[in-house]
Amino acid sequence: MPSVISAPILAHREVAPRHFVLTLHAPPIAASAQPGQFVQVRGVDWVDPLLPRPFSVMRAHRDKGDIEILYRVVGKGTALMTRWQPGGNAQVFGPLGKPFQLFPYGARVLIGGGVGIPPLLMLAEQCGRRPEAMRAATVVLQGARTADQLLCVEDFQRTGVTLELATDDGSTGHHGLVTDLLKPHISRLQARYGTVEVFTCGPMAMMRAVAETCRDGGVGCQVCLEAPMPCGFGVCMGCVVKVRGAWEIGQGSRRIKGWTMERHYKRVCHDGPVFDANEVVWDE
Amino acid sequence: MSSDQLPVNSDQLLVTPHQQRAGRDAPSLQIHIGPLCLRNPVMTASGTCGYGEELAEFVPLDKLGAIVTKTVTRHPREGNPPPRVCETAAGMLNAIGLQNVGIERFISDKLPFLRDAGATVIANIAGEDVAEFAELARRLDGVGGVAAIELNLSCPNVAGGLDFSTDPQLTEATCAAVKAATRLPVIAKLSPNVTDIVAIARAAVAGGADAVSLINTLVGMAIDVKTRRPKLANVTGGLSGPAIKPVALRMVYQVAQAVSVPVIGIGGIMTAEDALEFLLAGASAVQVGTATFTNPRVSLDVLEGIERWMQENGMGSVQEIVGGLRLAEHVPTLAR
Repeated sequence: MPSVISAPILAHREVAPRHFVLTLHAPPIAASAQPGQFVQVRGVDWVDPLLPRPFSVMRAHRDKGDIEILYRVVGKGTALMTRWQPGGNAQVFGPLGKPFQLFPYGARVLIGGGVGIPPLLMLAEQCGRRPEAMRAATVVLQGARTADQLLCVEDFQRTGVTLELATDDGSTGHHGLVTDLLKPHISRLQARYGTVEVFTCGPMAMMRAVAETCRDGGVGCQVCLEAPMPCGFGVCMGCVVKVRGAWEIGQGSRRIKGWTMERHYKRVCHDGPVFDANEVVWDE
Repeated sequence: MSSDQLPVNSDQLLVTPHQQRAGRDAPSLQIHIGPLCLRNPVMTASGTCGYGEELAEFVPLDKLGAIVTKTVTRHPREGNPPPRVCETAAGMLNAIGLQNVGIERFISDKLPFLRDAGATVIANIAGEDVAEFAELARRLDGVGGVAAIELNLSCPNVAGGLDFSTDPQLTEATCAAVKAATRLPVIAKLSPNVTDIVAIARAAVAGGADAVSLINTLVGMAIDVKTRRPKLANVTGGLSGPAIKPVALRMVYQVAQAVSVPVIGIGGIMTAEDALEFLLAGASAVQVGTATFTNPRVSLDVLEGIERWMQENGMGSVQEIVGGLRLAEHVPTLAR
């Protein structure tokens, strides 16, 4: 169950230009946060800006009761946040939303860019702690404009899963889009492990391309969406995304899902932020 | 038997669990909104607490004065396309467009939960015309678990939504039709997007409204200069949050002096102090809205703050605060 706490700020550091990692002492949140879930963060006395900002949980240290979030300075709220110092407090509310669903079989590809990276790092670290077979069957693909905008590269390397990078300017890794790397990996992993599940978080255009590749390749894809969220817990109906109607038969691994022509809105914060990529209506 | 028919000194009968815990000296938070008796004056505003399910994780719903549920309409509504919200200085704009499950699913799927949670439910409704308002009220009349009806006469984000509460005759006709259709207490929620809110409030009372609640959001807009596009897909939206509190307070003050029915104050309440300002201005109760987005527990914090303030100031009952604004002799009154 999510909680609202005034969390002591333990550490705050710039990890890339305009990107910061904030460490907060929030034991009830650290105890239950899962990859893909997020927290609503705001200054304890904020009136202007007023609303909390949603950030994916990047790490949850259950033993110490700490959580880490990574944010990019994009506006008034995040600009104010850069001034926060250890010793102060922040209001934090979470963990919120539905997490990624990790299957104990087959292979998985984690693909993302920008501030979509934090939930994927948490997922990669979870895979890295699993038996060797699971670690070996996990691939992380990260893209950025330039090398200095790649995030948490060493953290990903430490997890022991395969990491490949792509930059628009070719300064590191593949010269081009990260989505260029996806198809070959899917084919390779499919041949070796049978089933592949793709997890993605990042810019909408990238996620849409990933969703299309997965649909064409017949592999499952979970997308972690971002939207401005006034409340974060499902009451304001502000952060909706258009989705298809769904049908389902069977249970567990024998479950079959499909989609109908019907369209309606779902709340990113409460019904997501993780959705089946096929559920999302991408052209709206 | 209504509570005002109870014999005097029937403390034991009227003691709420809240008071029992706090001891005999705890102030009485109970208030009356016309025929409706609430355990305290703090409610959550319509559209900021859904149908209570999500909020119940953070706030025991039976602790609040009432839960005013998200507007329901005759048929389910999909709502407006995104982006539906954007932040503005000390506030936010929204254009949700009354996304809701419709009256039938409200009754079958949403009300049972609220009933089981012990919540006092004020059902907010919106119709496309006077007859539809009456039809919705009639449908709720026989349903258990609804304590009162609030009329959304003033949604700025749907076509024709503002028509009701900008026109005194339509306001009066709607209130009268609803009153004739239900035995439940009726609260008219008023729009601030009018030249003279007192005239509208008087019309609601003339139509038989048992109380008025104000204010709904102020119509506003915001533009992204980089793209030259409106920040909301609906172009305009309703402004809420601390930014609107002074306007809301002024309107509550004016209306409270002009009408004989209880006034419920809404608009930018973040703290107990904000709520007390509304009570002093003449509101009998308040609704906490946008603040719930900043902290889901805030309505409870407001309630506890009011109780603390009453204890510190030796107040025995909320009624002693209502309209307690002190004006110097020479200050001209805004009331008309």
